[in-house]
Amino acid sequence: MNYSYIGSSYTTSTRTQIVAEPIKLDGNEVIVFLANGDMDVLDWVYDFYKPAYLNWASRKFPTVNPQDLLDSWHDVVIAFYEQVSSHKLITLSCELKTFLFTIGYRVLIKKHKKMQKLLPGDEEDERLLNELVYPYLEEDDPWADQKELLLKAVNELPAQSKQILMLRFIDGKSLKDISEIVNYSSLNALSVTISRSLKRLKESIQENLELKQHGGKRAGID
Amino acid sequence: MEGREQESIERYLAGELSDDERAILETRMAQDDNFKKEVELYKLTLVSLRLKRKEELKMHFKTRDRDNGKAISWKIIGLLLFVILAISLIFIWKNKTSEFIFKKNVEQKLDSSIIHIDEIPSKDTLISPSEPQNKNDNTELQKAKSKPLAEKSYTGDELYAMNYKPYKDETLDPTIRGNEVLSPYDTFIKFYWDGHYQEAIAAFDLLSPALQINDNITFVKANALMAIGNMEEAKLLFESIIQSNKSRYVKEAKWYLGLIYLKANNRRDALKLFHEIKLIKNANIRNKVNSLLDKTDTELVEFNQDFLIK
Repeated sequence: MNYSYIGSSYTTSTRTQIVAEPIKLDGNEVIVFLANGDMDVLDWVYDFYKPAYLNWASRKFPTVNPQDLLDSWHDVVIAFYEQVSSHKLITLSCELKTFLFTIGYRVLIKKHKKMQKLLPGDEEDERLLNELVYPYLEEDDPWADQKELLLKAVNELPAQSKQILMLRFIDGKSLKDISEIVNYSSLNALSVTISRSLKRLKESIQENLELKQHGGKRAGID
Repeated sequence: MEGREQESIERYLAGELSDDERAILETRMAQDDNFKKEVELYKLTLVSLRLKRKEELKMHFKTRDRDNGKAISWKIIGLLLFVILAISLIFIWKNKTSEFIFKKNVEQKLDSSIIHIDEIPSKDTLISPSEPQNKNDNTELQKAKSKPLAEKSYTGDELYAMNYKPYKDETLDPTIRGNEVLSPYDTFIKFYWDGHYQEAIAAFDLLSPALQINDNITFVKANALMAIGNMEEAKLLFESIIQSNKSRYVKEAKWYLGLIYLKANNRRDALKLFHEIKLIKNANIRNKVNSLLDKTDTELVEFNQDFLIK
């Protein structure tokens, strides 16, 4: 991911303030910055809570190896980011740390189901399981089977098309913002490029899906 | 698909449709399966982009972990280097200090009177008390000590004062013999050991004739005579011991006789004796001789040339 172009979409003064000074941000401030596409804030969240999370997780899940704990932290921060970028999470009703640790708890429980039987059901566990973040994390990934296919289609796109689509549909940038980031002088031209790129991606996914479908049927016949 | 439909789908995906626009689009989806399939495919483009972002974020965090790990490693390496450097500096500083102290000591020790005052020209020496000496010798010693290092030429008296110590070894130590009644021999030795040289000489006369002609005992008497400044008589006794070559103190006798020659300013005979001692395989005596000869280096060179010609 090109962090620089995402980061550069935010105002310099804000970026300087966050990056240069290691200030502690309130959870809702983090959401605001992140919703505006400042990925440096996500890095700040990642670094700031990481040691405490790994320490807590290693005590809570002593049999899980450190690499798995680290992977779970990746999943936690990404899940938080996805909630914000998809506008499902707009404000926090608890501390950001609690929110993140609750996601982590559920990620680890999910990945290491055997642990559930071993864990003592103390009050903290109950609280974490019943936190308000629970609904955000219940859905299983419905696209798990088609993950490779979908990623293949995106990877086949030209770099600039990919960048523009990310800015438009993932980072939620307006056409004007995107035109400044990618140096497009005409908004109409940019709009046409977005439409073409999206159509191309859709067609690529469609082709891949059909290929998979036919391949599966053929395999069934054979 | 019309351009307007495409645009509304894009805005739908971007979450930019108003409630009314959204309701119209969803009604159309419910009524038209083809349109619904088209929108579902477009939704998959969004899913694919999210998956891509997730993958990129994972990579980004992994890189970040690695970079942070490297940064920590560099910090640790830096810290270790700093500790090593600090230890090295302390080590160098201590070495410099000790070198300085050593140099200071060496400079002091270059006046070998200090070395020799601590040494007893004997083998197996256990005790090195500062012995009472005659007033004359002490004066010479003080003169030698105060002499500037640059002046390397010492008088015989000075060399004597710097090197003479009455002989002692553990075999003479009266405390080893217990507290029983002292024999005349023990009395003689005890007086000598305690530094009562006049009394020791008097006690020698009370020994049996057999003991009085024993070279080992006359060696002790000769030392007592030297201590009280009776050089002539001491000289005769040492010469006799060396000549008969029966005593276990022959080498020591040569040393003391050499010192008597030095005191009498008879450097040539002294150096000859010291040279003989130097050839003896007794490190203790040889070291003392070397140390003494260092102070008469010019004469030694002359002496050596002379000696070798002979």
